Amino acid sequence: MRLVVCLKQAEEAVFVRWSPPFASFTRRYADPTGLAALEHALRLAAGAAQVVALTVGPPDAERVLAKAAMMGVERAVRVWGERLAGADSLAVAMVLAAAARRLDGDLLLLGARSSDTGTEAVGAAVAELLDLPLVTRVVGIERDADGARLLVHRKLPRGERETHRVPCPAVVTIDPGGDEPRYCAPGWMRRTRRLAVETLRPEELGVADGEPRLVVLEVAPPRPRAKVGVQVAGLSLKDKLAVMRGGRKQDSAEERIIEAPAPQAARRLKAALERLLAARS
Amino acid sequence: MAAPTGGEVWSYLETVEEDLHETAAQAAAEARRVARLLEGRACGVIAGTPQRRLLEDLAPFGLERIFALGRAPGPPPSVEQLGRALAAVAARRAPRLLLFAATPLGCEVAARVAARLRRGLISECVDFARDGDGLAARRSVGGGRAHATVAWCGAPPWVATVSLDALEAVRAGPGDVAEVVAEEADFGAARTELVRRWRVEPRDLDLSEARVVVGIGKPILQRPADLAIVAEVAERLGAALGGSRVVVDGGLLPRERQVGASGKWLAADVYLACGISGSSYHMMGVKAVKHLLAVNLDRGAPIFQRAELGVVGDLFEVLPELRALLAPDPAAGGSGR
Repeated sequence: MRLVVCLKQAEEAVFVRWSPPFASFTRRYADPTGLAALEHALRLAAGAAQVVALTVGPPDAERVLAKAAMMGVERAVRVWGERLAGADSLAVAMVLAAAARRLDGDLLLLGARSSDTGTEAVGAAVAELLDLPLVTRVVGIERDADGARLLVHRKLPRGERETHRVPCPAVVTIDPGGDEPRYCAPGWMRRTRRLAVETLRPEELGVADGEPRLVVLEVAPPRPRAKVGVQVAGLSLKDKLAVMRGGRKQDSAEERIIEAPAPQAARRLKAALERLLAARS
Repeated sequence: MAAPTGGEVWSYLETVEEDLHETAAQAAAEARRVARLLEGRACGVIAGTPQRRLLEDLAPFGLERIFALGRAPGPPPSVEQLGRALAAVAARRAPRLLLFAATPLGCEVAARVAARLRRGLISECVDFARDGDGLAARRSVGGGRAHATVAWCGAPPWVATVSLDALEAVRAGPGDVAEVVAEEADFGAARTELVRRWRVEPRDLDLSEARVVVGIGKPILQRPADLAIVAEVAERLGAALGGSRVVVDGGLLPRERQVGASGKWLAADVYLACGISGSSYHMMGVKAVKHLLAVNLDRGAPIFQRAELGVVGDLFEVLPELRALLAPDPAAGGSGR
């Protein structure tokens, strides 16, 4: 059995100055959802199956593969071409699908949603391109009793869960709410020395993607969409933002904070809790 | 090569066992909003034949047509089957834009349809705007510190998922029931088999996932036996129990029950903080909480700055009273559910 795990080097803006002189600092790191997927793969393999780390990114993304090697991966592949800079989720999925086909894995694992762009689209697109069964937002994988298929547990909002039976080969996307990635001691860096990263270009994989499908027009400071059904006139900036984001204006301290004997205070609390819980469902 | 204005904007109307999903009305309203931008027609697309009652529920949101993907009676289609059928119908009828609410299902179907049709997908859109003859969407990038305006190039249908925070069920006024257009669709076979559905009890739910959380602070270390009272209040509210770092370090709660920057980051609707003063590290972990209620002895505690309702008092007096007021069985109405 061979497990292929797709990892991503995420990029996060740590600081942006929007007025001249414009400046921004970004931080690159191994996307934790990808590492969660790797953790699931390593546990499922349990030393008996090969785990391959696969990433799409520039040479710097090999740091993510080094991290994977520290966690126990023995083979790593990186694919990159200049045209992939700023590529949309489908372009990345095409490259991953082609590489996964070449690696011929029995199970392909991806993070469900990266922490930087979070499109939640790559895994499903890869499954579609490879024409394989897919289960998304997985928090647990085990072998079925027959040994050939897998039982995967899927996490849905509000504590809802589903268990699916999937034949291999298959694709799963991993929700980071499951087990945490194993601890890596700094001394384990020596494991990365043995790792020879195979580098490939999209053309070598036979990926022929045509014209770009999306174009970025502008990057600006974030602002939430103004809600239509709320009144914001006459509110302070802080309250306006709170209301536009779907919250509510904060009452004054006199209204909000009560000093009363315990029974009275408990009644107020109960009324507030009941109102909030009823509004929620 | 943008297409001319006009055309149809389709919103996928998610259903749960013959009923509309809570995002369906919002998705319908969004279709109308974007259709007005594009001077096109707002349409919905739904799996199966919608019942009259369901169409009436959707009437105020201004959809002109609803495409019903016909399917054989039986278990509801899997997401894979849905993507297959929707892609085939979209390829045939060529709408301008396909919208999905960014639910787990919506995200997956959108990605599947976009991959099948080889069309551009913009995920988690916050807003839309006209871009010449075409359309642009605004979405968060770089971990949320910026918004990028992205436009589709190439032929429609374009695909988008809309952030759940941005969606709003705006009513267009009392409208007529949408015209239903039955569409033949090949759903194909499902390759994954749903074995069972289950749910995690609220109190076992991970803190980052729980909708209601009760947090306990330092004072409990003086009276560890009273943790049972707090746990019972949490139980009766259908809430998960968490604690501040001091409580976890004190060994009263396991590490995964710690709320704050070095513990779990909550995404709860309601957080009841008992005996928690609200250090900055704790408050980082509760930043995303929608409604915060607090019980604390010290009126000057920072937690009261953020609290929607704050009680200045001793938690060992207030919580037993609250426990008595809440019905023992959450289903019996004590939690209002």
